[in-house]
Amino acid sequence: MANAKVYGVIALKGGVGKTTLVVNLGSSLARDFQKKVLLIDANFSTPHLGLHLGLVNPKHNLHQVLNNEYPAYEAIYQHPLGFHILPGSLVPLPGDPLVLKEKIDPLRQIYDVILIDSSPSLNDEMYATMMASDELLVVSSPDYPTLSSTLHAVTVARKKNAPIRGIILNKVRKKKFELTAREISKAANIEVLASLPDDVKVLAALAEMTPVVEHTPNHEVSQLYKKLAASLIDETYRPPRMFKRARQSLSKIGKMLSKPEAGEPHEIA
Amino acid sequence: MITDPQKYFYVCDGKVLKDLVDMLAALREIDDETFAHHVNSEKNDFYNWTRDVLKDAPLAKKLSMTIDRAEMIAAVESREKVVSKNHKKKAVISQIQEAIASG
Repeated sequence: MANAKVYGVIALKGGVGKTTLVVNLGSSLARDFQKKVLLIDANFSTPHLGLHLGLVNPKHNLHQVLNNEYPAYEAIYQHPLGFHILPGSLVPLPGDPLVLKEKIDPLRQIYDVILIDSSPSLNDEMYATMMASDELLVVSSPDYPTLSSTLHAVTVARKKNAPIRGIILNKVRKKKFELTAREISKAANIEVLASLPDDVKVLAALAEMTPVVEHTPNHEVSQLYKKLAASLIDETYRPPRMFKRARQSLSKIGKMLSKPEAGEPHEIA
Repeated sequence: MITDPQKYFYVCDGKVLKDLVDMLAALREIDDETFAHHVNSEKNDFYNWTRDVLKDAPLAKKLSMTIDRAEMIAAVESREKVVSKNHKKKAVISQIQEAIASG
């Protein structure tokens, strides 16, 4: 029986790449490492996880779960890439975010990894993610405003006794004027787990509502996401050889064409 | 900045150098005779001080490759800009840290 590790992905600033990180880690963990993965959209005020994955306006969603309309497992969708999604309502509904932990804890038995996409606001929505997570991944980018937000988030997490796994430095352009991973790590006193480039391929993938690790799997940014995914489960990522890639693609097509079985999660239309 | 007087660079015209900014100013201002006293075919005191006291390896490497005054000034100017930016960064980060800690 699986006993999921729950990672909360936080940042006290919008646009740094929380949802993109969640989507790509989830996809890589499911596809490259055959893990049972659930992505949860706990950004209750502005839930956009579904929009990254072709799930535009989910009929079943986490907001309804918070409101006791049905249990969490009934609001889960199966993505063609193999992972599951517990989306938010595109039009946010009222609900108490602080019951998130209570609602999702039973799902730990089903999954290997659960990734929670948090709100960028310092309120009960973010506290809910902190409380529900085993470890936090703090997303930052190499500029002063984001560093300030990062240090703030780290301070809050420490006050809440929420363990921090590390910082993910995103949207790095390798310019001299940027803050370096070392400077950010030193300022926060937390390890930087990965430095991900500011890559237009990520936007191209988003336009197709596909994780970049699938959209452009051999690109630098995709390889870095995969390495990071591996490190979260204490594994090492080795780029597959050409024939293995072809086999995976065939397998992917097969999965996408297979019919759903009774009692399985909802399919994305 | 060097704080130990024993490690200051004492230029033979009386100037005392404590950091890169001082060195840059000296390289620009000293007369040719003074420059030749410190930099010639047998030695380069600015290189030695950069390597041994400032322990600035990137700049020391550049200074090791020339005894031309203009080239040395260009190398120090370039490095001083980088160091200055790094100092500014540290100062801003420190201010942010203090503000968040006090909040």
